[in-house]
Amino acid sequence: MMAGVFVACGVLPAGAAVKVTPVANLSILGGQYWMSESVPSSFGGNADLFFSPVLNFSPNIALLPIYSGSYRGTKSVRDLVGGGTLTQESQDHGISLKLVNKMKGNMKLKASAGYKLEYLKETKEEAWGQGLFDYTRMGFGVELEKHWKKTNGRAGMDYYTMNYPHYQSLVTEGQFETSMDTTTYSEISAQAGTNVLNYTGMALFLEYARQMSPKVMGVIRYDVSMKNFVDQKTVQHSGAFSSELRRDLSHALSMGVNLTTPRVVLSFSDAVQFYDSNQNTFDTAKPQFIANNYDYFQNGIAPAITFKLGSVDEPVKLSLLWDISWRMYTERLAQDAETDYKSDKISQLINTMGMSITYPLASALSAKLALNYSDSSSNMRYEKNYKYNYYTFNYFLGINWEL
Amino acid sequence: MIQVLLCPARGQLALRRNIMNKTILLAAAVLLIGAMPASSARISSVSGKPEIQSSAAAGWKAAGKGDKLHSNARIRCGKSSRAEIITDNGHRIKVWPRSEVALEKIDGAETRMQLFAGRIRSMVKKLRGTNKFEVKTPVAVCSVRGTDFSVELDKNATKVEVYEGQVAAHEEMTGSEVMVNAGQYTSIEANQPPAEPKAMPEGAGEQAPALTPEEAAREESKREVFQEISKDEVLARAADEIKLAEFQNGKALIDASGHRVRLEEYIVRSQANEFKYVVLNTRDEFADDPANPGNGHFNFGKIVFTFNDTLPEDLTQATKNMFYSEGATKPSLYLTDVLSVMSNTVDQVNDVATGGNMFPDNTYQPKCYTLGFGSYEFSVNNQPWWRYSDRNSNGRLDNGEITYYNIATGNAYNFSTDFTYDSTLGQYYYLDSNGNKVYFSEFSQPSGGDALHFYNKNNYSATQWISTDDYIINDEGKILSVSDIQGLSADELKVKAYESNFERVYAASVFEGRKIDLVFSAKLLIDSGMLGLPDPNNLGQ
Repeated sequence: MMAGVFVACGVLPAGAAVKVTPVANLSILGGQYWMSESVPSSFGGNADLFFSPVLNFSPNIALLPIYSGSYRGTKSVRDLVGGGTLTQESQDHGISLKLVNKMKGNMKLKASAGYKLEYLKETKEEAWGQGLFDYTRMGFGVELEKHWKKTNGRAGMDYYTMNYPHYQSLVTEGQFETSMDTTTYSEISAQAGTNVLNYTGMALFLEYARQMSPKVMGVIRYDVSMKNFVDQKTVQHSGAFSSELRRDLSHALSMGVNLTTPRVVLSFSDAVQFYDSNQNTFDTAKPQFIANNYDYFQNGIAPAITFKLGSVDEPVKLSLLWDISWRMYTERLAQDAETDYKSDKISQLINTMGMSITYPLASALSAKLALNYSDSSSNMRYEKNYKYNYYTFNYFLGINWEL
Repeated sequence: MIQVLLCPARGQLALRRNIMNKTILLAAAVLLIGAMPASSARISSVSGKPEIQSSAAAGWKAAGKGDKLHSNARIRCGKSSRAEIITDNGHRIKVWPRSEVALEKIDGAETRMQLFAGRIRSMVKKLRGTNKFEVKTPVAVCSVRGTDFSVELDKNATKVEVYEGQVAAHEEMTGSEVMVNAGQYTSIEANQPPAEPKAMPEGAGEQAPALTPEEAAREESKREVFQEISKDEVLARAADEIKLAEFQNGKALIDASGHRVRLEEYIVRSQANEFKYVVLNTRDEFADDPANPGNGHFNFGKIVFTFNDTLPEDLTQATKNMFYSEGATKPSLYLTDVLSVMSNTVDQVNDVATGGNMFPDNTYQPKCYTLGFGSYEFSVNNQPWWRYSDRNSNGRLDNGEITYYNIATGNAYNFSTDFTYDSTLGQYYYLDSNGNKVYFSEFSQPSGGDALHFYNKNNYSATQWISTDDYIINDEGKILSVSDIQGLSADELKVKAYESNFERVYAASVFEGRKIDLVFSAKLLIDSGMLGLPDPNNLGQ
C-alpha cells in the first residue's frame, strides 16, 4: 500500500520492471544465563529473523519492505541486567518501509517509516500482549548519504512516538480517587500525569567514514536524541509534581577503526555519551530529593578481533571481544547498604568479555557457539531495587542462516 | 587475433636493473627459480556447481575444492557458481558466474589463461625475471606483474580494471599502448587503440569488483537493511533504559506469589508539623473489575505523621529520631500522632495513635528516649477491635491497658468469662461448634520453618477474626529464608531488610473473602517500627 503511495507521489516510476532481491537472516540460539547469587535460568531459546524482498525499480531506486522480529527466552549478558532476572520472555515485531533513491554525485536520499511492537512477559499473569512494559513505536525518518572515493558521509533524522499502553500512573487510577480521602488524593495527584512513560523522540546523526588505507577504515559518528515525555511531570523539592514536563537530551560521540585483512579483522571503538534530563526524584524512603537524577556521563571502549580460519571463502570465524564501559551519574548520590546517602555520585564500571565461534555448515548456513561474561562494580551499595554489583555469564549455541 | 600486451611498469623495470647489478648470489637464486619444474594449480574454493575439464579430450565434471589443475585444463561457472584457483606460485584467480576460462599453461615461469566468456579477477604475486602472467581474450592478451586486476569479456570488448599496481596495455594490431594505473580502467575493442584509461566510478573500491552486479545489489540491499535494524536496536536500547529506570526507582516488582506489583509512594507535607506517606499498589493477579471493587487489584496505604512542632525542610532531620533517640536530652521534635490506613478500596484497617511523647529510659540519668503513645486504637472497617490506653502515662504497655471489643455487640470482651484459659499453653481459647479449641492467638510459618513468612491470627469468635500474612521478599518475589539471615547481627539484619520488600496481607471475617494486600518498600516504615523485624536468633527454632 505504501509502495502505491510512493508511486502516486511520483517517487517510484510507475510501471517500471521490478527486480526483487530477497535478503534474509535467521538465527536460532539456545542457551542459559547465570547471574551472581541466583540459580541459572533454565535452558531457553532466542530467535532473530529479518526478511526483506528488496524491490529494485531501477538501478537507482529501491524500496525495502522490512520485517524484523525476535523472540527472547533467555537473557544475554549484554542486556540491561541490573533489574535482576525478571524478564521471562519477550518478543518483538517490526515492519518498515524504506525508499532509497540514488542521485547524481554518488548521493543517496532515503526515507523510511516503520511500526514496532514489543511484548514482555515478566510474571505469571502477564500473557502476551498484557505486559506492563509492552510498547509500540511508530516513526519515520530521512537520511542523506554521499560517497566519495575514499570516504562516506551520512546524516539523518528520525521522529518517533513511544507508547506504553499498559503503563499508567497509579495515582490517576479512578479506584484510588474514589476510595481515598479527598484531601490526600488531591494532594498526591496534583499535576500527576497518567501515561507517564509515553514520549516522542527525535534522533539526529552525522556519520563520517574514511578508508584510511586499503585495509583500514575509520568511522566517527555523532548522535543527538531528544525525548519529550508527553505526560510525565517533573518532581519538585517538596516531592510534589510541578507543571513542567520531563525532557531528556542525549549526546553521543563514537569513533571506531577497523583493520581488515583476509585472515583477521581487528576493530576498536570508543563511545562517549552525555545524558541530560530535567527530571528529579524524591526518595520517599529516606526521604531525600535528588535533582537531575537521570543525568550521566558514559564512556565505553570496545576492542574486538575476528580470526578467519580454514577456507578463505567459508572460513571458521573465531571472535573475541572486550567491552568496558564506565558510567558516572552526575547528580545521583550513592548510598550505603543501609540506604544512607553518601556524598559521592554513583559510578558504575561494566566489563564484558565474549568469545564466539562460527562454523560454516553449508552455503549460507553456519553453526554458532557464543560464551559471554560480564561483571559490574559500583560504589552504590543499596541494591534493593537494582543491582549495581554483580557478575553474569551466558552461553548460546545454535545456527544462523543468511540469504 | 588482436593482442594487447601489458608490460611491466617502469618502476618495476628499474627495479629489475638494480637486481641485475646486485650480487652473484642473487643472480644464482634467480637462475634457480627459473630452473624450477613445471607446476600446477588447485581449486581453493567453490560455490554453486562449477565444472572442470582436465583436457580437451576429457569430459566436464563437477569441480571440487582441492582438485588439481594442469596446463590445458578448463573451468566454467554457471549462473550461480564461482570458483577460485591458486597456482603453485601463489597467483589467485577468481572465476565469476557465467564465465569460462582455460588454463593454457601453468608452470613455474609462465601462467597463461584464455578467457572465453565472463570475467575473472587475478591477484598476481610479484613475478621474477622473465616470468609471465597472461590473460588472453579473443581480442586481447593481458600480461602483468605483481598486480591485482580483472579482465572481463563482454561481446567483443575487453574491459580491464586495475586495483593495485600499474599495467601497460598494448594493442598489437594498432600498436597502441596505454598505462592503466590503480583505480583506473580501460576498454579494448577489435582494431582500435585501447581507450584512454579513466578513473573507476566512486564506490567501485577494492571489494566491489569482486562481486557480480547481482551480488553487489544484494550487498547494498543488506547494508540498507542492516542500517534500519541497527537504528531499531538503538531505539530499543533507549526503551530498555526507560524500563530499567522504573526498576531502579522501585516502582515495579514481583510479590511472593509471583505476581506483578506496581508500587508508587508519595510524601506529602500537608501541614507545617505533619507529613503523609502514601503507598499505592496494583496487582495484576486480579483483573481490574470496576464492578467488583476490592477484588485485590487496588490496594493503598496512608500514614499521617504529626509532630509537636514545625518540620524542617529536610525531613530526615525529623524522621531520624522519630521513635528512638540516644542521648540525655529529650529531642525537640517528636511524634504526637500517627494515623494509618490500609485499604483495598472497600475494606480498611486503621491504626490511630495519639498523645505521643518521648520517654526516658531513666528519669534521673537518661541515656536515651523512646516514643510512647497515650492511646491507640485498632479498627477494621471503621469498627474498633481493640484499644490501648496508657493509664499510668509511663509510655509502656502494662496489664489491663488493652481492651478487646465484640463487634457484634460493641461491648468489651471479658477474657475471664468469654474465653477459657489454657494454663499449659498460657493461651485463651473458645470452643467452636464442633467442640474444638480455638485459641485467641495463632502463629505459624505456612511456607515452612525456613521461610520468612509469618502468619498471625486473632480469633475473637467464629464470626470475628482477623489474620495477617507477613512476607519478607525480594524484588523478584522470592521469600527470603532463615538461612539468608541466620547469623546476622541486628545491624546486618536491618541492611538485609532494607534490601527487601515487606508484604502484608490482611484477611478478616468481615471482608467477605476479600483481602488487603500491600507491598511496602519504604525504609521509613521499618525505622518507624510499624513493620517489625524478626529476631534472627529466634528463627528456625
